[in-house]
Amino acid sequence: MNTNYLEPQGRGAVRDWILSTDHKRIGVMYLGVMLTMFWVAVLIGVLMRIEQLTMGPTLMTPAAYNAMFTVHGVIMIFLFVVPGLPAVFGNFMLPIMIGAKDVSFPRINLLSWYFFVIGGALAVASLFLGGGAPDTGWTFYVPFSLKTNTNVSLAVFAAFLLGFSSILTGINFITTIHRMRAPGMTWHRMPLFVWALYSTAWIQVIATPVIGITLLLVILERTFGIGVFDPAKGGDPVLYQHLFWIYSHPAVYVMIVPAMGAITEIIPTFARRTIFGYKAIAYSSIAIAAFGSLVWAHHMFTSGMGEIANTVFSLLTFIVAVPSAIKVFNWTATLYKGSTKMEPPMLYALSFIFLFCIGGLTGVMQGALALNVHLHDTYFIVGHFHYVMFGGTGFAFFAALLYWFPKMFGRTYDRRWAFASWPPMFIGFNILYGSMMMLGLQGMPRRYFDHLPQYHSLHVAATVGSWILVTGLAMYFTTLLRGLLHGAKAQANPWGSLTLEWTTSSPPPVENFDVIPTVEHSPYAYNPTRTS
Amino acid sequence: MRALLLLLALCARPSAAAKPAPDPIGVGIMEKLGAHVPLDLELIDEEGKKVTLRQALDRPTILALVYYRCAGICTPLLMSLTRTLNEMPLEPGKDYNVVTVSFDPLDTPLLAKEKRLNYLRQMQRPFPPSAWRFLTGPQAATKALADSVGFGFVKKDDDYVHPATLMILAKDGKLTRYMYGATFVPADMQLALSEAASGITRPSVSKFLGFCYTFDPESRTQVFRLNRVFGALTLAGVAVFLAALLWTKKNPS
Repeated sequence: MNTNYLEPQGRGAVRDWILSTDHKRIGVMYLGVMLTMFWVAVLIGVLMRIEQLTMGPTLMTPAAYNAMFTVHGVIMIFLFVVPGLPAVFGNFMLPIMIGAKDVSFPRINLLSWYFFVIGGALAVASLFLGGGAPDTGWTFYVPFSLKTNTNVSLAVFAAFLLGFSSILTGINFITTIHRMRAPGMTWHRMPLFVWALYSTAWIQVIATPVIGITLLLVILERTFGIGVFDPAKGGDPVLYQHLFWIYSHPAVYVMIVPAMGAITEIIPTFARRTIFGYKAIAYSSIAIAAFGSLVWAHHMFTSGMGEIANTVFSLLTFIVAVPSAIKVFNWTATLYKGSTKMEPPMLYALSFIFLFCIGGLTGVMQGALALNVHLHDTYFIVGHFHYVMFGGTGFAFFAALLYWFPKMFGRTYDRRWAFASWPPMFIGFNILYGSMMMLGLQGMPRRYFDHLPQYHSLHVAATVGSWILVTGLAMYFTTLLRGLLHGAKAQANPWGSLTLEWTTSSPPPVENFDVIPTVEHSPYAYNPTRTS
Repeated sequence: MRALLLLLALCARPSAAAKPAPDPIGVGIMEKLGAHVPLDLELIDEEGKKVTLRQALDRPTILALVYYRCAGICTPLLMSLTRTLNEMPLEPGKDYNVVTVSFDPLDTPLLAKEKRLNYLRQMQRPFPPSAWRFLTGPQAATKALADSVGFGFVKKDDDYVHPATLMILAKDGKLTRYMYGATFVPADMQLALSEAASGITRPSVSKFLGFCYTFDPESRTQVFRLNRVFGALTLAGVAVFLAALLWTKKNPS
């Protein structure tokens, strides 16, 4: 019973993977697909920056640029950031962290991976098949999405499948957390990453069906002209926007909450100190899920909703910043007087806090009605969401990968190189997206292949920043790849962490534990005098 | 899955009764970038005199198709155009002109004149009246202009359902860009006009089509009722799921 999960299981190398219902193998398969798509989208991003290096056409036609930012957005959002941490680290770590052998429904788990891969393949295919890449942006707003002749139906169906995959994962995680906890693993002894996954899973289960039905209605409307959204037939296009954002705003919390969860695991491990405010962090995840479901219409301030609705949604948007701030203060308080040890995962986790604060606070700025109207459709928005999605979720993903890599693959990477790839990533990131924010404040419109002379120098800075950033990314992934192929064997618990996944061997055995553990203390009881 | 089939059945019923719209363009924009507007088209100016498009288009021009009695998006569209023009460094009457044309044959030159006075009053910079024309015209002429730029609208009761989009024209009447939506970024408008000055067409970017329409919620209650039913069913399903998790026994694992 000591074979690790990476060893062959006798069905041939390919079938061992694609037919496996082992949550760890499924997590690794998600990782493989996602990182491939991530690099495709990164390269597209670099090409777009080169286009902006000079005024006028540089590399590509304006139409190609439009297709590029649509592809970049669709891949990054639907195939990297949304599945992001839950699909990879959630699948891999959740059962181990609560002392279970697998998730509740292993076969549904594999099914959700297939939905993800098919949905991803269709999304990419819709960009290249006849009819042309969808030119609606990722929001598929009616009435345009009903009128355009591009592959909108296919892209919408792909989004529907990806949504289905997300619902299945959510149901699986909720059931697993309720039903499969090891003896002694009470709700308040669960690692906070599990709490974050739990809140995320509820958002997935409650909000995703709304977008599923809405997207089906768009397909029906395009095919049969039923007239729910088409104003020419008496329908209401604003209804579409409401239904779309009722899912899609909570979806941004699906992107960020698990990232916060991973950071909450890393910080106490390297501060050697119990987490400050365990319950506050756990319940703030739930609060983000709850309040985050009530702010959708702040995407529609310019859609003509009426003053009272605008004011109410603006206010609710400010409120949702509170639970996020609670987490930031608790992380900082955890570090205070801790015996901090600077290892690569910790460095990336600390940069997460810095970048997330910038991204989060500029988000609050946009919650204010007056500024929102001014900044609408400028580079400021682009800068803001890259700080949250890349500086936030992206850096958390990199931190989590460095943290759990030895556990997942049983190998170590070269920590000097992991440190060395941080400065170019962090500096390049801030030059690139900081310049974008400044450009936006000066009025640079987003989604355009060209710029006016007054924006030129900042555009050049941003492009140079993108080269520095991508150098850092290349160094980071080369380091991990070399570790995977030639790294020394990893110990069971290289960081000295107290959560359950580190009590089993690296890589974990097929059924995670030889004996199901009994939990007797909090996951962060580093300090013997504190056992809360 | 059964819920899905039910949804299909419910939605299919009304569609069987309603005929597909006969109008080939319908409401919306059929982009015709690079096409030319008919320059010899005769319209009526604010004084009730005849004016050809050729006379009105002597430099890069922002073309707005609206109707002056409009209670919907036309006024917000023109107001946000006014704000954008205020914030742009370009000189009106020198670097560009604005031409507003009503597609409603009932609009009169008198109303057009009042409209112009209204908008020019909002200008925070010297703005020669000749740089913003408000034209009207017989139905045949304005429809021909709308068709030439792919602007589709339909009459519904006393009002029109129409898109909220600006067209940018070069001085030879060539259509160089569409500007969608009811709000504009000044730098974007400036780029569009400088492209029109050199006659380059550029593909549209943010195609979030805005429509002006009247919506009568009373006659569409079945949609909201369906919303409520499916919303309630989803939440009930979730509640049953949570109850099952909380009140049934743990799996022996």
